[in-house]
Amino acid sequence: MAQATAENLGHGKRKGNVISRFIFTYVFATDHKIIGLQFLFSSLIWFFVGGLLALGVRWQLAWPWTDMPIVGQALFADSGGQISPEFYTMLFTMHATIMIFFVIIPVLAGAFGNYLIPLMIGAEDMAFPRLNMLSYWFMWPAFACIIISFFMPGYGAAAGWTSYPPLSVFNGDAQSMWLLAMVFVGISSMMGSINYLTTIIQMRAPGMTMFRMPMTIWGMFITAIMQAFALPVLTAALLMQLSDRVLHTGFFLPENLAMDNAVAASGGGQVLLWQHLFWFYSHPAV
Amino acid sequence: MNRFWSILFFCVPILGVVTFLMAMFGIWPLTHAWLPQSFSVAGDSIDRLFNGIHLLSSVILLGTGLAIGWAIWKFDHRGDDRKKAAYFHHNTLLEVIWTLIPAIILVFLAFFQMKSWTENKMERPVVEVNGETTLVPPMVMVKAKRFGWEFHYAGADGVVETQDDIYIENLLVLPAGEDIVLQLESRDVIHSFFVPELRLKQDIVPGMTQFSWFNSNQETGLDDKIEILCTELCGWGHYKMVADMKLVDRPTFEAWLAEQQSAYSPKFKEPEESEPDVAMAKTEEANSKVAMSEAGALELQTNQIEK
Repeated sequence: MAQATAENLGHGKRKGNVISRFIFTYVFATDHKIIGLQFLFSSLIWFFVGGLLALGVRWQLAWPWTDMPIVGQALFADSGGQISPEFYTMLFTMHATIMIFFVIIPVLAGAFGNYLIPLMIGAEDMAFPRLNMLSYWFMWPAFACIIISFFMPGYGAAAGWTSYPPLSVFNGDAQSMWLLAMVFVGISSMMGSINYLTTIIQMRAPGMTMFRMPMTIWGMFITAIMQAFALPVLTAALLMQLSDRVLHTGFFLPENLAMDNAVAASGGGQVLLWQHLFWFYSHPAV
Repeated sequence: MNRFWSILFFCVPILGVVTFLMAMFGIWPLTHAWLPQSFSVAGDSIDRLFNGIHLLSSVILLGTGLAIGWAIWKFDHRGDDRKKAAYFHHNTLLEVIWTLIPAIILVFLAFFQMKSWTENKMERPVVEVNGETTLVPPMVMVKAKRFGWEFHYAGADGVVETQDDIYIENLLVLPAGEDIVLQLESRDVIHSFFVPELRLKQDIVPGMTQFSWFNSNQETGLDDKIEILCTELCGWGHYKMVADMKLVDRPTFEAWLAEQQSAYSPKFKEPEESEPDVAMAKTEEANSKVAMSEAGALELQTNQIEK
């Protein structure tokens, strides 16, 4: 059944002109290999961005409080060509975020998972090709949000990749976009994980018992279980933090909290709750 | 070149362990590459744990690394004997062994670290007052804020968070050789109180009150210092959230504190010579404060604002 669907969507000859064929083969692809490559190449672009941010961090560590040559005056005109502490905080936050959520997770699960699982267990395609396509395209709102966050007050999230409140709640608006981006990454990963689980359980070739599966597939299987059951917790926590910031709820803010002469609009929450929810997913993940 | 990979796999664990041992024993050029000198009683047990776990890991690293190196050397297909490597599907005995050994090591570590953890994080030191055993009351309330440290010394009444507290910023002077309890609170975001020399680290969470304790067995004197660092990202100025700490003998500490009293608290009055009974009552008051629950800490905060 699933195989038949896969054939109709991905492998069958598509009608229409060259452009629509190209779009449906390579852009809105349902073929597992194409989706794997889509994940791979978009992650590689982010790998480059994350690497550039790391260069900034390394520059500041190697030559602290020095003018950055060539690009310094253009980038940091306010601080005379030097990286300011605020910018440095943003640099390592965004570097870590991009490397973890936009490179490691999409490459390991999205790219290798999609490309290799059907090949290694002898399946025609993934169990849910359209869900697979959606899981890739849900990365794009995340890409958009994280790019927009660089141009919003705060100029990039700066509360570390763990985004601990209350620091993150008091940060600039960029933090809200960061949270939104993480929500989209979470949704994308959840869709992917459901797909991997179903494919591995249901679509193994005859004779490929669970204990004959290659170790790689076992690794991806366990990762998918973690993503399917622990990631909803993180995604919910991200939305709770977003509502703390935008709707002034008090999930993670203690009573009588004040910072930089500003008082929090709400309180009564528990700061450690975020850490419990965040690490519920992130500990197994890292 | 034939043996490149096997030699590489031999070198990595050996060089790694040699570097680690050189650092641990302070052999040149790695004389100061390991932990800073310990200033606290707890430091001994913590360092023993730290070094013990590293030694265990280095044994495992040597074992697995050399086994891989040996396998690569022996079954190098360009070698003279050109033997083909044997193919095993699985070996139950081997798998049980390499599952059991790490499990045993983990269980061993779980018990091995228990005493140190309990002493340093769970069992707050006690003091005998008139035959009654009570928890040592905090000597200083540490308020962490972006980006500095406030130290509120208990004044003459021996209780923190009262009118006669002595307030000092970014300098903590404490007597060595006694059980010191600190009450840790945050004014804004999460901070972390870290003194590498005391092997002491404690997160400070806004809305919560934590207690940390140590007993230093070394003095820095008033002219030297160790550093208190913040180890939880608290914003752009996190890097500069550093305070000085000085460990001195009791008379020096008392003289220094008296000096601060006159310098920082002009309204401070010398307390009358108090009777033992009064002192006892005060200690009890201190203890009741200490025993306060989280809800109590909240109430305390409100009181403070009113003040």
